[in-house]
Amino acid sequence: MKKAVFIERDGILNEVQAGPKNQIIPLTLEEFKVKKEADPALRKLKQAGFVLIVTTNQPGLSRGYLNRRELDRMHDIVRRCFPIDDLIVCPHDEADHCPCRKPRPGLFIEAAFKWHLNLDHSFVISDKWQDAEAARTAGCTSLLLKSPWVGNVHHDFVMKDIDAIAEKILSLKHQVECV
Amino acid sequence: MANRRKNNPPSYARHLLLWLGCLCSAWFFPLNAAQPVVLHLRNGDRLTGEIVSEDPARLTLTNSFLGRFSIPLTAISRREGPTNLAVAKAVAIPAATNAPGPSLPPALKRQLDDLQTLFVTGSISADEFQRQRTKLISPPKPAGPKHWTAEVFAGLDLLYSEKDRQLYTGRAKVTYTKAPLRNNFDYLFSYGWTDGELTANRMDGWMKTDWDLTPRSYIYNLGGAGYDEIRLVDWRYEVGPGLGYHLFKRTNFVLRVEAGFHYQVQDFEGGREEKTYNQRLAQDLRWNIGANFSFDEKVEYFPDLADLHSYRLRMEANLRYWLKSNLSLNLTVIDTYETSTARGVGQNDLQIRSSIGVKF
Repeated sequence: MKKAVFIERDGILNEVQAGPKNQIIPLTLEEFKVKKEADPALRKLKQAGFVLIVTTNQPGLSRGYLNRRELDRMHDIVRRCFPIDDLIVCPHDEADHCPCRKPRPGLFIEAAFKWHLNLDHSFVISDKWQDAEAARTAGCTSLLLKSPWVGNVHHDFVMKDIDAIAEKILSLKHQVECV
Repeated sequence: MANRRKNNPPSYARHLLLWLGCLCSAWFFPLNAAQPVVLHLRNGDRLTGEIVSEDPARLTLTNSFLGRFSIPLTAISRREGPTNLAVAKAVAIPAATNAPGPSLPPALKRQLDDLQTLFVTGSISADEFQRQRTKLISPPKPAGPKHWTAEVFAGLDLLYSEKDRQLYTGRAKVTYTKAPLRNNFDYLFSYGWTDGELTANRMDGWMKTDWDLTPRSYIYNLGGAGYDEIRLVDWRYEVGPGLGYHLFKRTNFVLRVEAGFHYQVQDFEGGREEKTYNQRLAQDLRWNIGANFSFDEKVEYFPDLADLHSYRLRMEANLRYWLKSNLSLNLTVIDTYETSTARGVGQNDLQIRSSIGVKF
């Protein structure tokens, strides 16, 4: 079975604005700015044999303030800029009580089913507690980028930048393979 | 102007060149972006994705949210976008949808197909479909921790020569562990004779209950009973609570120390009864030495603080070689030294046993 790295889109692959409680995410193509500095780290992970899967909650689709076609265009940019294998979206609102909206682990389970992944040996990169909680439920190792949204739930590592996260994942992968 | 008009190719030739250009472009540069198809279902739902395959009965669609998705053609009212498979196949499928399809167990495939049919016929909502699908494809939960373990040891010593000797030994250990509780039951017996004369007939059983107070400390209660016909003990029982502490708690090495009180009653042959109130100081360790060997050892010291010349010392060591994960060869040494014994019986009692152990 394959190992994967699940990458949260907002805050890791594209710029977000800091709101009073949550991140303010881009809703139009003009607002969408990719974080190029994530590319070398992702390429290292890709070379190490990981399946790279971007996961994102986009409740704006359900709430009606995000256009699906606009989102597809943003994701075309993400696919062009980063060496990712898949990009999975939860389009639901919290009120839908769907199994895929993080912190629930549905997106990871769906990806594991689709890509034959071993979730126990997979990793989650994010800057938000919701992904860490979903990782815990799915059995993945979570590595969070230091941010105001890390929260108090269980997370495995908090690191200063994505390069450090990639190095950590590679060293953890090496440890697992040597056991 | 006239020259320019003269140099330009005639209009039919321009059209021909344009057509040739288009044809060449189509030949050398096939479409590299996926063109989604939009399916309008009879129940009013709309599905967007790329067609993977189509047969006379079903159409397989893929999109980034639902993955591969098979729909009966009868459930589709109309479609937008590439309407036939030849067009759909010419479209390069992006990496996201190019993932290997899982080889599903037939039962799961049937369940997923049934669920899809329920969804596309409008019997369940999209949210309900997603919930049930996630439930179906979720990896199985790992089995919970095993609370009960049991081990049985059997030993046999036979000699047929100038003297005939048979000795049978056995031991059973049953452990129930559910945090913060650990319950251990240990039962030992040996029975044998030499030239028809009984040389071993003893039986002992202990029940020890530990209750974790913190990750390292715990309280315990110990109870035991037994007899030894050869050492002239008709009946004995003991009980004692105390405190314990894990000095080391590694995955392959555990060392514990215990201190508590101990009350023992022994009925010796001839009607003599002896009651003792002692302290109990104990230490035990377990060490897994590599994949095949393990060693455990226990020392219990029962001093009478009022009279330090009166005490009991019990030591036990087991070296085990694991033939398989549940089958072991065991060498056991048990030595008990007690200052108070039946009349005419020695103070030291040493047993060296070998046995085969089976773990359940």
